Amino acid sequence: MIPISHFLLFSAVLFGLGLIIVFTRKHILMVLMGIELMLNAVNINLAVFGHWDTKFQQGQIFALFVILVAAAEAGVALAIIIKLFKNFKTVDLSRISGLKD
Amino acid sequence: MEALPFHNWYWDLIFLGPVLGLILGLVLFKKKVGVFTTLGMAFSTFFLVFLCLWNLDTPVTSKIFNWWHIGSGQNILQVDILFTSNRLTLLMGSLVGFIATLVFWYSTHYEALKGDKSRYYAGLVLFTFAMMGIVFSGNLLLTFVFWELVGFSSWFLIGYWHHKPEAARAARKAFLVNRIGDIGFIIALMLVGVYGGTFDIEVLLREAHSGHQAWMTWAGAGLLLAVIGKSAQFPLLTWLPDAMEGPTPVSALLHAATMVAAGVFLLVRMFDFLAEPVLTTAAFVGGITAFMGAFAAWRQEDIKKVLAFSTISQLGFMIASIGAGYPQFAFLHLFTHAFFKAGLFLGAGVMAHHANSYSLEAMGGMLKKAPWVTYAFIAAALALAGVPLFSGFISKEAILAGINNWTAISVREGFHSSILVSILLWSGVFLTAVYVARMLGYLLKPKNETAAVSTPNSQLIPVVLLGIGSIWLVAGLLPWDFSQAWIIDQSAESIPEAPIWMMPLTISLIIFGGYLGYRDVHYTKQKAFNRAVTNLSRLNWQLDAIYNAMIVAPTLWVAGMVRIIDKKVLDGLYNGAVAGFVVVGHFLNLVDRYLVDGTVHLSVYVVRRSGVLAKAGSGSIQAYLIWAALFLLVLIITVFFMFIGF
Repeated sequence: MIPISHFLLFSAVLFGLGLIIVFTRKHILMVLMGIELMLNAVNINLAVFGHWDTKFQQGQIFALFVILVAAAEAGVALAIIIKLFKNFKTVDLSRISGLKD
Repeated sequence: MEALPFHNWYWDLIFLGPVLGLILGLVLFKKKVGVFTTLGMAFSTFFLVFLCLWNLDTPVTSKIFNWWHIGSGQNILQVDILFTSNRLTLLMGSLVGFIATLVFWYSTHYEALKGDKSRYYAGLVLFTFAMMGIVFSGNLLLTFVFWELVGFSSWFLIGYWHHKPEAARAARKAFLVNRIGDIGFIIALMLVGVYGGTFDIEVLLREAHSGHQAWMTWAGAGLLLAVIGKSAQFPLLTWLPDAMEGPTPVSALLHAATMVAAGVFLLVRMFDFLAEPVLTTAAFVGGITAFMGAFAAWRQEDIKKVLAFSTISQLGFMIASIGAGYPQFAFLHLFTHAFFKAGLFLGAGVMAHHANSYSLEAMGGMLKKAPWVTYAFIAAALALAGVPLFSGFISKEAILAGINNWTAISVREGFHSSILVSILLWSGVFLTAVYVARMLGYLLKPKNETAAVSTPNSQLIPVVLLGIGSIWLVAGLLPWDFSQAWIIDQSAESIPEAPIWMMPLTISLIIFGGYLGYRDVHYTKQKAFNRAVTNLSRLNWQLDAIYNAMIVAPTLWVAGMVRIIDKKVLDGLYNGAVAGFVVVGHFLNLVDRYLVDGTVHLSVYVVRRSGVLAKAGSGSIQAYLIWAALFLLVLIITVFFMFIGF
C-alpha cells in the first residue's frame, strides 16, 4: 500500500505546477492546461480521501463530477478562446487587456 | 539444480533494462541512443536467460503490491499486481528479449530511419516493455493493460512514417481491427470479474482444472476473439499485411516476438481455462487461417507481403495446435518461428536496401551482392518451409502429429468435420513449400549488375545469428524427433506418437511444393485460371473488398444518416431555442446598458481615483489572478491567526 502522504505530496506538487503555469505563461491555451492540471490535482486528493469512505465512495464519485465539469469547462473555455482570438487576433495574454476599460 | 530464491527486485532487472538504457542514451549521448538501448535490452535478456538456467521448473508468483479492491467482506474483488515466473513465461521472456536485442542492434544502422532515432527507440522500448508485461503478468486485468499497450505501441510504430498516408492508414487499420478483438477480451474480463471473483491467472487455471463452468466457456470465447484480433487470425487477418508499411525492423519484432506472438502466448498461458467448444473453434479458425494465409502468400509481388502472409499462416498452425489440445507444440512452433521469421524480415531489410525495392522482381542476384545475409535468409526460409534438419521441421512435425492424433480421436467420437482441419493444415504445409520456393527462386535468379556491397556488422551479425538459429539444434538434439525437444516439458501432458507415414508424406509434400513454386518463377504463360488464382492470392481472397462492402460501407452510411438527422432535426430545434434566447438577450441588454452599466461606471470612476488600486487594474488577466491569490493568502493567514492562534 502506498502511504497517503505520497499522494498528497504528489497532488500538491501538481497543483503548484498548474498554478505557476496559470500565473506565468502568456499563451492562453497553456493557461487552460494549467487549470486542467489544478483540477486533476484536486481529483487526486478527492480520490485519495474517498478511499477511506468505503461505504459510499463519495470522494471518487465527486471526482467523477469534477471530471464532468472539467470537460464542460474546457468546452466553454475553448469557445471563449476562439471568440477572443477572432476579436483580438492574438492568443498572447499580455496583449489582451480588454478588462482595463 | 537448486532454484534461486526469488526476490521482487528481479522484476526491476527484467523490465527496466531497456528503459534505463533508453533514458541514459537520451540524456548522455543522443546520437548513440540505439547502442545504449541495445545494451540495456541485452542486459535484461542475459538476466532472463540466467533465470531460465536456475528457475525453469520452480514456478513463482510474486505479489508486487495491492493494486485496488472493490466491495468488502465476502464479496471482495481484490486486484493485485502479480508477476509469474514459470517455465512458459521465462522461456517466452528470454525469447522476446533475445529477438528484441537483435532488432534493436540491427536498427542502429538501418538506413531508412534517417536522422533522430529517439522517437523510434522510445516506441520499440515501449513495445518490448508491454510484451514483457503480457508475458510475466499473473493477473488477467494487468495482462489486458499491457495488451492494450502493445496495441498502442504497434500503432505508433506501424505509423512511424506518419507523413506517408498509407502508413497512417495501415496504423489506423491495425488499431481498429485489434479493437474488435479487444471487445472479446473486455467481455471475458467482465465475466471473470463477476463470476470468477478474481483475476489471478493461477487461481483461475486451478478452478477451471477442477471443473469447467458455463461462464468459463463464454469467457474463453471472448479471449479467443481477442487472440483472433491480435494474432491476425481469420476473420480479422486483414491488418497484418497492411502493417508492412512500418519500418522493416519493426515488422521483424512485430512478427517474431512482440505483437502477434502475444495472442498465441495468451492462449497457451490460459490453456487450462479454455473449454472444449472454444478449443474446437480455435482448431477450425487456425486451420482456415493456415490455409488462407499460405494461399495468399503464394503470388505476392512484395517480399514483405509474402512474409506477412506466411506469418498469418504459421500462426494458424499454432492456434490449430492449441485447439487440438497441444499448447506445448504451439509454443515450440512459436519459439522456432520467432527465430526464422525475425531472420527473414531482417534479411529482407538488408536485401531490399541492396535492391532499392521490396519487390521480388528486383531481388535477383542477391547471392553475389550480400552472400552471408542471403545464406542466412535461405536457412530461415527453409526452416519456414519445414525442410528436415531445420528447426521448422521439428515444430511443424509436432503440430501435425498433434492434429493427426486429435482428428483420429474426434472421428472415433463421431465428429467427422475435424478431418477438415487436418486437410487444411496439410495443404498449408504444401503451399508453404510452394511460396517459399518461389520467393527463393526470385532471390537466386542471376542478374547482370552484381558487385558485392558491404553490410554493416550491426546488421550482418543479427541476421546470421538468426540464420544459425534456424537449424534444428535450437529446438532439440535430434532433428527428426520432436518429442525430445528441450522446450517440451515431458511431465506435463502425453506426447502423441507420430504415425510412420507422416514424415515421408510431409517431405514429399515439401519437395513437390518446392518444385511447383520454383517453376512458378519462370512460368510466364497466363492462362485464365492461372490469372484468377493470382488475383485471388494477391488480393488476399478479396477480404478487404468484402469487409469494405459489408462493414465499412454500412457503417459510413449509418454515420451519414446520423449526420443528416443531426443537421436537420436537432440543429433545427437548437436554432429555434437560440432565437428565443436572442430575443430575451436583447431585452436584458437594454436593462444592462442603462441600469447595471451606470453603477459599474460609477464604481470604475471611484476606483480610478483611488491611487494604488488603480495600478492593479492593468487589464492583464494574470495580474488580476495573482492579486486574487495574494488576497486569498492574506485571508487564510488572518483567519488562521484569529481563530486557531499561534
